Amino acid sequence: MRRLRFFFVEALRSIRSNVGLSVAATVTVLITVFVLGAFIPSFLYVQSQVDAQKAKVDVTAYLHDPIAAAEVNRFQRKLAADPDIKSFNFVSKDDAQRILKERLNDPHLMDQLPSNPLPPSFVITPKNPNNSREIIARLQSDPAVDGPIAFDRQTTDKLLSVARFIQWSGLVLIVILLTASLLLIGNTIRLSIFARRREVEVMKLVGATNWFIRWPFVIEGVFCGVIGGLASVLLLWGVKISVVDNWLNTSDQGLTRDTAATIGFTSLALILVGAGAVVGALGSGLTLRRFLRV
Amino acid sequence: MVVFENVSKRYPGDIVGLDDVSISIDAGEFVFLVGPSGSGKSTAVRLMLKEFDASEGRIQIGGRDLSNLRRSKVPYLRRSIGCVFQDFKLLTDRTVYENVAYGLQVIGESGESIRRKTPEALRLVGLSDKADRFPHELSGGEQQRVSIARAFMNHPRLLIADEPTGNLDPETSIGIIQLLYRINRTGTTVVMATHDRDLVNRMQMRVIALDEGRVVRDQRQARYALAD
Repeated sequence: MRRLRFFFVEALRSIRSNVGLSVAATVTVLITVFVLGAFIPSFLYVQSQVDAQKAKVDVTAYLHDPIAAAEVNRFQRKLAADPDIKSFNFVSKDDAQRILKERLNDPHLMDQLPSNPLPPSFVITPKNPNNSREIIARLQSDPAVDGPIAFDRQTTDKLLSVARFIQWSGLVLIVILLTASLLLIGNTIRLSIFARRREVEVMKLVGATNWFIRWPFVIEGVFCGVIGGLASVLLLWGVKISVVDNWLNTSDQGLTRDTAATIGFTSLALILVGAGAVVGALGSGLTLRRFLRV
Repeated sequence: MVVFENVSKRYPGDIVGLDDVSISIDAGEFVFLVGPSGSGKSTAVRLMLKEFDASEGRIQIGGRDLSNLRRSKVPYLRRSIGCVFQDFKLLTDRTVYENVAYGLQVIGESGESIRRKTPEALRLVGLSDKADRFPHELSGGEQQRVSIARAFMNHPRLLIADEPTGNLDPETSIGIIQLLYRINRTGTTVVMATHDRDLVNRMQMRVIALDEGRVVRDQRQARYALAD
């Protein structure tokens, strides 16, 4: 307890003696943690959208190729009888080839093939989009079906690529900002080691242990980190109230409303303040290793 | 208390700090380490504090072999040694009391023990009435007394003083040396590096003279130089 008080008093003394740099380090942490705080919920949101979308879109059942017309008819009757299926659309081999041709940049590419390799298929739209998984489970075992029944890839792929973009750009941004905050905190600590070189010298002289000498500096770094983290949580709270909540309430898209729960603000705040503290501790720790030889 | 056995210290660039020095100082002695600047006095002091290791030879302090002493144990070695320097090494933004108490705070002494020992140490050096002053409000001699109070707080068995009177006028210096002598009388071994000729001659203590890193004279009840 007594030591703890000593460490805190010394750390505060040190922060007071170079306010400017401590503020700079704190602001860098603030920006880093803010971006992290904006990134985590948006990433989780997009991820949840992808998952939700996956379960809601049409499913495609590919048939054996070749297949007897009677088999196709039997399968078609089965689909028509299924109460969960809203509609279905038969895509013949020729249809499939036409669709692919349209999608390819080179329309003559298909002509190179000796025969049409594409199987016939049914595109099935469920009555309730949330039931598509059950429909798949029911139809998968049918003898007419070849290979696994799949969700329509196009929509999910698009969403996935958006998710991936957010993921990577966010990650890159966070790494850059993290490096900047580590360097700035490190620099702050380096200067305060310099400012307190007399104290450090005396401490060594009278036989203070290495960790006793280091603690005030670590606390100083963690302090900058935690304050930066707290400030960014406040900032995020402001953004949430004024922008995000507003947008969620006025949005007419059912999608956004029922999947808006990505991460609770309290747990997010805890994560962010924790991240700030870790950045602060790491920044000062790395500097102490290099500049405080005892 | 202090034993140097064939100790050499070379700095990078082939600069010789100490060259095959053997010294033995008993507990309770008062020893002057004399010689011109660059003779190796400071090297000897810094070796005793294990600020660095000897290139060759063995050093023992209070029976502890410094070359075997792990880095992490160095703080505990230093707690058993009091240190006084030419530049006082006081913290300018703290009062006399805080400066002395700081020495105990950073080795984790209890608040109660600090409150008991600090006034006692200030009384010993005769600065009880200046406890709340800042170092810049004191004379050089008084500042050195503060640093002696800090060094003597834990009643170390060995007190090392590196040119403690280097920045002080002759009269003040005498006051400081008398203080060190009084500390010595309590049983603390005192090793004082100096090139203050008058002071050494006045005290008539054991003198170890260094020159270019070698011991050139080791004599009891001696003067600064043979010719004096």
